Amino acid sequence: MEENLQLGAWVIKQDRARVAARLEGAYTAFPRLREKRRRRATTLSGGEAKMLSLAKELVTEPSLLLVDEPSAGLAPRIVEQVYAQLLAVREQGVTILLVDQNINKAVQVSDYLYMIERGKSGAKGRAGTSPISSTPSCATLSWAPERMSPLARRIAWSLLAFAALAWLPLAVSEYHTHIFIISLYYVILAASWNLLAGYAGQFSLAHHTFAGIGAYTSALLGLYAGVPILAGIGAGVVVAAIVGYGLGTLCLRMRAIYLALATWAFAESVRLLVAVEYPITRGDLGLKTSLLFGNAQPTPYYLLFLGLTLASLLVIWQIVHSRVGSYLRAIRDDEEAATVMGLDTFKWKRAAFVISAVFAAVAGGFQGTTSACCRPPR
Amino acid sequence: MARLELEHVAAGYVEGIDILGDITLRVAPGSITGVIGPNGAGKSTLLKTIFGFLHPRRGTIALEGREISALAPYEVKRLGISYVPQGRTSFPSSRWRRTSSSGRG
Repeated sequence: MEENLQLGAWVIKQDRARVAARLEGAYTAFPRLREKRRRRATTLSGGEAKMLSLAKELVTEPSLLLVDEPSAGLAPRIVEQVYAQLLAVREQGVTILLVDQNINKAVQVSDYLYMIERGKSGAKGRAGTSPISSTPSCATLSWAPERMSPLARRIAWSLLAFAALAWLPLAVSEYHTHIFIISLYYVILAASWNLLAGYAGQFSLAHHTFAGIGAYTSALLGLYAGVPILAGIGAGVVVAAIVGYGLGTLCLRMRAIYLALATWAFAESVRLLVAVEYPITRGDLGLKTSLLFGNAQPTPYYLLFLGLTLASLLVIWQIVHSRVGSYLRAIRDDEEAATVMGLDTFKWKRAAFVISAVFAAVAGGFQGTTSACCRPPR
Repeated sequence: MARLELEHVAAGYVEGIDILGDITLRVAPGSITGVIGPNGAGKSTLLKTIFGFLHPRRGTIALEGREISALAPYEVKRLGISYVPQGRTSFPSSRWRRTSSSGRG
């Protein structure tokens, strides 16, 4: 539940002390919410959820609050509380435009009233002052927010995992080491796809295509322009980011199945293009690439992919647990509510698209130079 | 000056059908201004139009004298307008708490 309030505040301000003060203000205004701060928002009652909706907006310090049917579906006793809160909010200097079917309450709390009928504003008048009075108090307890998450500790864990897994090629055959390399490649693809589809809710079917773009850009540049492998992979990442930005711009206004279809169509188009342009790409035969470490002995590639995988997981973990991560989950859970909170949802979806494409392109680029061959999937 | 001022606003979801036909209203600073009306009168549509989910076909919407009718919702929000829609708008909150500013480590 508290994350909802934090998300509300984060959208506007990134100053942690200020956010903490605003949260405290919200809890002072809505003591019920303080009791339930550790609960999941879905477990709140109707009235509590309405208070949360209101509090979530108030933490952003609006000057004008638009409120739609605050009493709809609530018990009479709760209705009283909600309107009392609106009056308290007005006392704090916030202007309110209230749209309501509960004419009695609307007449009671409003200073001015408009009547609309079939889309035309009609009668207008000054309403009587309300019988309910409520004085907000803004006690501020000293409540220090935690410092940044211990990134150093996670890096240490990653290094430890690297040390623990690095000896594996000594214990298994070269063949199995190759299998591990391919597995790690897929771990990176899966983790970055999870960022896009799992956390941001954007079900793209073109993720492997970005890996392909990374691999083919690097291989083609190496073959035809003599570009060194690492520079080629860098170029592949840039190309994937640009293509991801473009594809995201085109597709991300679509929802669910339509996004999946459009990205799938893109993936198929790229695959066919690679297959058809065989004088350049060698089509289904596969494009030979040069090996990063000069020979095919798998251990160095295994260590490379182990490092890449752990680094990717670490970076993705950081993104998911950052402000951006909470934006993405908000968009996934309810895009309209995220928009209401002031998120440019399209921009963040596209950011997730580009970030995941970059990870795929890095993985694809290195996979291309590890397997000595790029080939479109059949 | 009114905090918010709508002049002859018309808006709707589908081409050719105006849900709002001709809305003119003023919201005085520090007031609660109520809008009442029967089902389907366009009350919710009015708020959605102000917040930028819909853009008016005619008329103007001004926040403290500044025209805002062409802005996207996130831009409107940045100008200090908040919108509390009908029903629940909270997110079903998830497991992690460690990096939240309330965190416990």
